[in-house]
Amino acid sequence: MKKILVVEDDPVNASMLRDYLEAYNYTISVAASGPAGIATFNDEKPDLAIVDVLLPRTNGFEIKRTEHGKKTPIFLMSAIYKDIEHAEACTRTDLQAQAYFVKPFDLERLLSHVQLFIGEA
Amino acid sequence: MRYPAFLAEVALPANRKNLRSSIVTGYGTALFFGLLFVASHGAGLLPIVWPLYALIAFKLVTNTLAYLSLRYETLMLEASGLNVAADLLTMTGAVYFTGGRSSPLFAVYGMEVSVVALLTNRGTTILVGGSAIALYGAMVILVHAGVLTALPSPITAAGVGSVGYVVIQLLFVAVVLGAPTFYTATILGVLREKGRALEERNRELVEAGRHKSQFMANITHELRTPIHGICGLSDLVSGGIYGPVTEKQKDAQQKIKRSAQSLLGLIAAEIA
Repeated sequence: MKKILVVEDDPVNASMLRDYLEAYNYTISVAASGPAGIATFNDEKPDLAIVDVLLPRTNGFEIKRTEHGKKTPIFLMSAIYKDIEHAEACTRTDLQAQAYFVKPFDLERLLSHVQLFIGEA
Repeated sequence: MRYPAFLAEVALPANRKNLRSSIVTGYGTALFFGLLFVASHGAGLLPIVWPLYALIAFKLVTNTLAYLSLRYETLMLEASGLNVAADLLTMTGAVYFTGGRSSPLFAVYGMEVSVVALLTNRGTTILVGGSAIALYGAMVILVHAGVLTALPSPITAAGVGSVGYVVIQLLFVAVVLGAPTFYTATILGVLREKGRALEERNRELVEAGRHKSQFMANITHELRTPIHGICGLSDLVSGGIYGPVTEKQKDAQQKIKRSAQSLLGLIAAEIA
């Protein structure tokens, strides 16, 4: 089973992503804040993390700095409207995140990225 | 009677302080010239001095009328106008009685124009400057035509080398150049102060604009997050992830999603 960590503070969005990805047989853990996300990330060592960048307390960018984070694909998502270019530049350079999704995004596009990076469940 | 806007503006309550200053300036200037004439007469520089005293008395009367008009708040514009006209007339008279074209008093017009510029506005300043030119010109023409008798200048009366003349002339120059310097410097100070206030206001507006942009970005974020939930969940429903769906339910889901997307369009239009 492939494990995916969803770090998302909005409960509706979190459960929606969980239901969607579980329907494709991935194992999903959800964390609602940056610190909880990092803890879960280090405990469970997921194959992929999908992280909201505007989390309460800790920014989603933090995860990439952990030991496991360096070798795990990370997808970032946010509802930030204006700064897509900046966010995309970050995903390519500093953070080495593998994808960036602007909410609302197409779930099929997310799924195709997930399958591309960690394969089918 | 209707006055042009630039004149009417002078009597507005906002300008009262300036009108009061003009009365203080008027008494001060009249006093200074009175003493100057007394001293010049005493030093033997001014053979004819009574017309000059009469002019100063006239100015003191109009100045007092202007003071009373302000005190009782009636006919303020008329009284102040009369006071300025009296300034120009007494100045021209003083220039005439101290030698006409060769009078050393010519520079007094500069005092008048600079103080009017400080206390009133552009239109009034141009009007007063133009009147000064016209009065001086009329005096010169009348003397040239022989209608007015050409009178001797204190320079020719006492001789340029006279110590008394030099002392009085230096005192006169100090005041007559000093006053416009003071008035114009004050005008520049006021302008600079206004410019600074505008810059400050501008900075505040830019700052407020930045806050507004940040606020809008936050609002956008707040609105897009739930819309993402609506779109995603309705896709999940119609995708059969929560169980079998009928065609009618699928149709309803399409409508939910379309509405959510049009809401998104509204947000983009309002905020972008």
